[in-house]
Amino acid sequence: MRRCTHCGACTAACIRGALKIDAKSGTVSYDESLCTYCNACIKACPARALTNTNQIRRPYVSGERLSETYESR
Amino acid sequence: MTVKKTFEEINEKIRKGNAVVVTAEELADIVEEKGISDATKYVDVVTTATFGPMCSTGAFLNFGHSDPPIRMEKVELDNVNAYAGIAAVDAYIGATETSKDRDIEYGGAHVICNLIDGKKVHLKAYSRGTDCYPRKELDTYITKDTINEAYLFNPRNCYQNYSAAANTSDRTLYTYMGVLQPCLGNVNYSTSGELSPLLKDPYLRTIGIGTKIFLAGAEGYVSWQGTQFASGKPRGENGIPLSNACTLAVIGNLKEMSTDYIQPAVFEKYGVSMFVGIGIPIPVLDSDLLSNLSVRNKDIYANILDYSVQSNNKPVLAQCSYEELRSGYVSIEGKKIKTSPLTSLYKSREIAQVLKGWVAEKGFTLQPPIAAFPKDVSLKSLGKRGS
Repeated sequence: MRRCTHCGACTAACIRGALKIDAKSGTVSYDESLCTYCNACIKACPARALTNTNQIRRPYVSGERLSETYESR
Repeated sequence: MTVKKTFEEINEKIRKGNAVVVTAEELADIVEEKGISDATKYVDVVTTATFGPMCSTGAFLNFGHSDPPIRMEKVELDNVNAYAGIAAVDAYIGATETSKDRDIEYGGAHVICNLIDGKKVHLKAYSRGTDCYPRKELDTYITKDTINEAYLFNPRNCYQNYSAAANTSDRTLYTYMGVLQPCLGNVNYSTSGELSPLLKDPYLRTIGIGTKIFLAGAEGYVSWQGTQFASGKPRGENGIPLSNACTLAVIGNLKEMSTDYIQPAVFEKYGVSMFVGIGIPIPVLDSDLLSNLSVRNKDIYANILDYSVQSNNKPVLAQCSYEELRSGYVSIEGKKIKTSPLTSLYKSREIAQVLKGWVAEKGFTLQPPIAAFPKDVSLKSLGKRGS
């Protein structure tokens, strides 16, 4: 599993604005309430850090739920 | 009184551990507080950094000779072709080469990272066989510890400015600048802005052949001007080129690198590239250089190009500052458009801090350029010539 580099490429694919890059910290944030689980971010992630599972279509980063990962930064 | 410092004076301070070293972002606050003249006296070295996708990346490897020996004419590493037309057991693995079995999901960039991580890489080599190199095939595994040299040599990294990308067509575009939504749905840009090395020394006064740098977590060097080097591009009043301009060719020991600072990058429906972490320490030689070093995002401009036009000369849709790009939105013809970066500001900052530690605490001295880069170079394009 590769690591998220916070490059921000996933935010370009997220048309709902669930993934955003914070202008000050330069880190990606994830708002699950806006996520439609379209998974466009997974294909757009150059680091291949995002995945999902067959059971739950929610995107994961480096094995953790996106929100948990990004909130811990 | 005008302040002037030399590389040697600054290096002496670095050796004694009393050089004042700050990142390009930290410098802005110091200049605000002290002004240009006092800040020039106070600060000795400013660290700059970037961590973005840089396709023109690869590594030279020397595998050592087998017994009986082979003159490798074709080399595959984990099913990724490496260029073997060099010498018997030398090869160059390019980051963008894709694998025969996994297409863009695995390429030269992945091989390079696996080598850095100390993992086993599958080597297959083929030859016609000669009297002096009789073996015709070789199938084995290598790691960075079982081979002789392994060094990154990247012909074009560290772009000085890079135009942002948008798409006016009615279909989504998948590019090396990421996903471009239709009908001006977004703008993507790729630079660390005010932290980016060549934007902070726009005339490359201190950066040339031999400059010592941070390359993917190891000590590296600038080896030459990068390919597509264009020092003659139009510049703004602050000296910063307004479009893609200078580049660097860089070199460093792969065996000492860390995948914390270099990573494969896969762009959907495009191919493999590589995130490369580069940091360059810039000595504060005088107030002119400090003025360059203290330029902020609001005074660094980039063009936004329309990638829906399939031409090398893509039309400029707008010009905007990096402050606007980083704010999350830009305005094109009155329309508010979302922006996304491709260069990690988060990692760029980390590299600038690591390099600051190297210079301030670990005696990482600065190498004056052995030779300067040429001025006023313009780019040639590949036109139709002859029949």
